[in-house]
Amino acid sequence: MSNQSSNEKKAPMALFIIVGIALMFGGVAISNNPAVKSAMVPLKEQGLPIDPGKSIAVIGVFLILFKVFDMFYFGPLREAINERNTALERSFSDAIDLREEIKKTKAEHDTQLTKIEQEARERIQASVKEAQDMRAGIMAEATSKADALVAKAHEEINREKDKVMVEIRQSAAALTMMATEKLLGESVDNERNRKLVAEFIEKAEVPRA
Amino acid sequence: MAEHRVAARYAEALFAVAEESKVVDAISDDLRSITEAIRTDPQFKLFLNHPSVGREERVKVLETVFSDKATALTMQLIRLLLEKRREGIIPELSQAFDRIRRDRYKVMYAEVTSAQALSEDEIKALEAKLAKSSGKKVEATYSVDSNLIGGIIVGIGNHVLDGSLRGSLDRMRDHLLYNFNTTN
Repeated sequence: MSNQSSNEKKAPMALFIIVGIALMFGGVAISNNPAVKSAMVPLKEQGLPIDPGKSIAVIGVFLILFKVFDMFYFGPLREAINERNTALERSFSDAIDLREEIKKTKAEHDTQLTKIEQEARERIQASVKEAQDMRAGIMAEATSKADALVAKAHEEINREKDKVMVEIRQSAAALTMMATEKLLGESVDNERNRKLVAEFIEKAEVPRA
Repeated sequence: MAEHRVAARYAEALFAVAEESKVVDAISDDLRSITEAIRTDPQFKLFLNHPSVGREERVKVLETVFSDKATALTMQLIRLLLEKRREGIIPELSQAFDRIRRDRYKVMYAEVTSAQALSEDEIKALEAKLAKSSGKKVEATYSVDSNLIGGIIVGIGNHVLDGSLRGSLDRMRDHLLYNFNTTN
């Protein structure tokens, strides 16, 4: 593309130079032509020193100079300006693309964020529910254990109560026996003992084997 | 356990010979005396069982001590036991001999414990009642235990006839405890 345009530019440039040289030489030739010089004398006398040959040569020179300037100064300058414009346009385009991309990314990010928030909310709700279930389970277990402990404590209290009651009864029986034994010891004399032995002998029966 | 079996065999053999010689009661008394001596005299028991005392020496001492008190058959038995190194079974042998004798002669043995020593009349009355009740002759040993408070206990084989105040108190205590426990 660039080569094509360069070739297209070279043709008018050569044309311009050829035309310029032709005009320059033609102008010089016209200026030096005596017929033309004599034709210009009346105008010179009237205060208009016009030399068409020189004017044509100057036009030729200008054409050549215009092309030379265009080639070595205006051309690169234009190209630089064009490049800069192109770069700026590309930058703008890139910036626009980037902005679009940022917008798109932001939208995606927002969507993702919304999704994440939704998921997080769901997870939090699930965790809260799980925690509530766990709490309920722990409470139920603790209640059950507490009930079991209370029941065990009641059972133990009753057992201890029974034990103490048995001990009290045994102590009461032992005290009763001690008192009775003491009374008997004091009241059983020889006569009473003989009577007991006699009663025993009277009632004694040998068990059959 | 093995000594019991050995003592029972010796007792049966001894009883057969004693019955033949009609000295069953005398042998029984001799064995009871020797057993009592072993039981009550630790020195005598030590002498019988001491390893440094020779067999002949033991025989001599026993003959010296018991020859004028024991029958010839008893002394023969003692010599035999010493020769066989079976002097340790004398108490079991005595018991086994008495069991055989009582079984053969239908004698009932009773252990009588009373709070106070029984009088002769009481002993006679008791033995007569036991003999009448069992249809056997009665042999009894008597002891006194003041813990009975009053009354008498008669042990016959595996049976106990308890006529003591101690027994009544124990039964009363058991009854009280049983009532206490069942009324809860």
